[in-house]
Amino acid sequence: MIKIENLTKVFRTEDIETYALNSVTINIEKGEFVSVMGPSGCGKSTLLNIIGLLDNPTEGSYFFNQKEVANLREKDRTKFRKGNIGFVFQSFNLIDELNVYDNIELPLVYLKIKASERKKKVEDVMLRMKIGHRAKHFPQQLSGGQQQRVAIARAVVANPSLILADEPTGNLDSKNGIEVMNLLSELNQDGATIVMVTHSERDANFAHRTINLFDGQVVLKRTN
Amino acid sequence: MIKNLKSFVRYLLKNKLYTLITIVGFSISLTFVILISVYLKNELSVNSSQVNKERIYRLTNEKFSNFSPPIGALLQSKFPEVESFTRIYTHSAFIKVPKSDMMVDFSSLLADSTFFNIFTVPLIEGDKNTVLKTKNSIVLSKEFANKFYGNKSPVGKQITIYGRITATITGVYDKLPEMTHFSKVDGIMNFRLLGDLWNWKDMESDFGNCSFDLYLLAKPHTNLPSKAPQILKLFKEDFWIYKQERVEEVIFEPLPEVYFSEMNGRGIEQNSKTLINVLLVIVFLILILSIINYMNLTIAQAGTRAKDIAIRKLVGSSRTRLILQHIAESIILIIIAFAIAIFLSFLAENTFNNLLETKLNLENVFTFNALLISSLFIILIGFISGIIPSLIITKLKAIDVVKGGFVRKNRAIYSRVLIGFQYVVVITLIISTIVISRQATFMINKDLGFNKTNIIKLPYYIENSQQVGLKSEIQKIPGVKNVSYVAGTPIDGGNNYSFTYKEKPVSFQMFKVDSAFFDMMDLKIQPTGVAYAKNGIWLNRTAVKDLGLDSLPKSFEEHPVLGVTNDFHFRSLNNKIGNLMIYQLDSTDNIWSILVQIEGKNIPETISKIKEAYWKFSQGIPLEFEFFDQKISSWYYKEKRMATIIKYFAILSIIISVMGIYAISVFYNLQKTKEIGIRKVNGATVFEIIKLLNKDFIKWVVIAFIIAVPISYYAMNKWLEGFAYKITLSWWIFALAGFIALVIALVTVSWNTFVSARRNPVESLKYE
Repeated sequence: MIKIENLTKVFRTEDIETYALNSVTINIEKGEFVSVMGPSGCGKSTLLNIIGLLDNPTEGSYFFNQKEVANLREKDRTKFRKGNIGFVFQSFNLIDELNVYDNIELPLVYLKIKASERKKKVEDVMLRMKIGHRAKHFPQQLSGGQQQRVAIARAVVANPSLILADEPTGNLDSKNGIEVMNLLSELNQDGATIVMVTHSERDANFAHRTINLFDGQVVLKRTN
Repeated sequence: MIKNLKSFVRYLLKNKLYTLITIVGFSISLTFVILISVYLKNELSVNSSQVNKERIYRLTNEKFSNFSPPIGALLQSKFPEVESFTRIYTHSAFIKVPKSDMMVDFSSLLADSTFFNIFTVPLIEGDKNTVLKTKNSIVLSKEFANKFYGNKSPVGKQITIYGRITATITGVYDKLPEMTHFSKVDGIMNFRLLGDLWNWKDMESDFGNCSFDLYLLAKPHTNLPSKAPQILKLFKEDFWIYKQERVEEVIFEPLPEVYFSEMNGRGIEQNSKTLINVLLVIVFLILILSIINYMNLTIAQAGTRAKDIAIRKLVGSSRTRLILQHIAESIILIIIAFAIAIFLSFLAENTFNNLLETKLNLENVFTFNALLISSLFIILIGFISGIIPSLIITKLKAIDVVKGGFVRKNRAIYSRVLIGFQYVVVITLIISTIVISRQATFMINKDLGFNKTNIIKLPYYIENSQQVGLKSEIQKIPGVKNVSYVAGTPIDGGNNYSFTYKEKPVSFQMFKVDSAFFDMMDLKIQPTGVAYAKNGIWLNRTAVKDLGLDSLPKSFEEHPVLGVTNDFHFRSLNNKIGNLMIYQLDSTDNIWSILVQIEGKNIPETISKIKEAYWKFSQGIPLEFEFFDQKISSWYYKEKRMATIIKYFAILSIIISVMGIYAISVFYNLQKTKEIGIRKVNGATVFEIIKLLNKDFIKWVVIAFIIAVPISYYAMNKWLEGFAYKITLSWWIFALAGFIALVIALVTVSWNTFVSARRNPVESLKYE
């Protein structure tokens, strides 16, 4: 599903060039659950952003479902992302002004799905994430665990083939963290491909395999 | 305190956009506040230095301010409250001056001997009690005296008017118009001289001619205006304009009000109270706009200072202290802006004077008292600007700020309401500008029912015996199409002629013209079929209708009616077309002017040839002419000026609002950075983000539009009521103003929105 070859990402400021990723080559098959680990600043999030088409690599190739997507323009990246990729962030990234229902509905709105269909999809996913009773609540009225469920619900509501999670349990206590990981595992079992950046060994063990990055390079691939 | 100040200065330097917009915004608006305040102060203090200002009244009725010559003496003899009076009239004549063969135009005020006792006008030479005592005395202005008599005293010298009347110079006055409502003239002559100038022997007893302003000086500690009912009673018995019920009121206008009176007067300058009120409103609005900008920005920016406030609160600063600190900061900021504004107003002084046709002189204004008052005013503005933001900012709980809860409060409704208010002002001003300019253009360009292009009017200063000679001389000039002698034209309105017709008072304007007039003016005449007669007249359609005559009347008041003319305007469009009667000019009639119709090409050449021809006949009096169309356009000077002023202030208020709205959009979008990122990650396109961010601003333009339309409709309708002929308030004027405001809003916020929407979402979400 994902085929990355010699991917390099360089951040340039006026006088410094930083290699966030240096000739990274990775393959991820459909239905896999892959975790990415490594110390802070090793390029984990950069890799995730490129996989998630939020950013373009400086060099190298990236095939998503056999389609070269490494150098798409912003407009095309947005188009490609819609419905294909769902995101879960450490800090949940919910919109404060929108309630739970509206936050989850967001990707469907941008996919221009009809209102009646949207309603059904949102209600289904809220049920699945056990947050149906919180539909009218605003993010700041929810606990961290609940907020992350909402974020996951939003990530999966459009039924994307790939879910990217950037330290999804980083802001949660261990009980809520395990619940979130269980949810992700369930989604994976239901067929979603998941790439997750994490610092936590425990979380990494939920994945099928782990890729270790150090200074922008893959140093170890491990099957769990 | 010093530490707080330092922290504030660092904050200002760090937040350049905030500092720039608040200081620049306040500086610009305070510049205009200074300029307009100085102008208003000048205008409102006209006549304020007159020692007797509390006791001087101008007598008027409900229609005009002119009375006949004996009225002053009549009132003085019947009412002991009247200490003295002066009649005022203006006169312009060509006189011969020493050391020059040229005739010079000498403009003068005709006033009674009491003039210098009633009004405070400093005399350089002469005694105020005697200077106008004799009929043939004349007091020169310092300027005129210096110009023609140099450093020598002109007192005792003589001036000859029209080559037949000799007047003796008895004094020289200094600065008459300064801070008084009198127009600038070259000298003041004794009123009684008018009898000689006009060959009007029974002037002092003739009640017939009501053309003169009358100022009365009341005795101290009396209440002269309370005598109005008795005066009215007296007038109704003895004074024809009251007896015939032409006018019905006696009004005492206190001197300070004369300058702003609706009633035009002789020899005086006047200003429109409406203009003064409009300017007052504008100054107020400009100040409000800047205060709003400041409050809005300060509150929006508070997020970045919130931590500072929270920490101060955590370490024990009281709320009052924080409030005082914020107020002090806003006062400091405004003092800086005021200093810049003083500098800017000196820079802008000339431009302001040119654009608004004012005569400000700032150097005389910045006295100690003025600075003291303005400092208090500035502190007040600073206090008003600072109090609301400081109350809001310091209200937050320290814990909320640390947690970031302030961000949400920050998006509260008030900043939108304030922006909405700015748009209400902007839209209202745009609508007013369009309406007033259109009304002015409408009046200037309206088809007046007669031909006004390429017609020049020359004054008639020649002997009647030379009439034919001059006419044929001018007629010969290539480029001249037609020449006509007239007494009364559409631009001077002719003479008023009032009489009783079928027991009802009727009022006519009256022209006397030669036969070339009709062709030249392109008037449409319906002949009545009456045989030509020398005393035949023409009436206009309005007169025929108003008097209930046959549609083609054969005679009127013992005159055969030769024809009925189309209705054409012979006064400004503020007045409805009235009754008009056109007589045929007789060889013995007093001719007022010569009308010359010229071709539209080589105009300067044609005019210089006319000047030459005129020169030969006028014994050295230089030709002063006016174009009909220019003269007509000058009637609407007041409206054009008002339109110009409102236009400039509309632009200014747009600039101030745009600065504020731009800055708010920057802060707003900054606050929205995270949301933009989230939406983009979830599939929103750049266009969808721009739409989302602009929607909010557009919503407020729409709300502002809904509020501004009825306000401006009411105001403009009220303003248009003053015109007999006016434009209609079409819907498109309002739509256009709304559209302009919308475009301004979009242009202002869109660039910033575009930049925000294009930003890579990764950047905004990375540091959460």
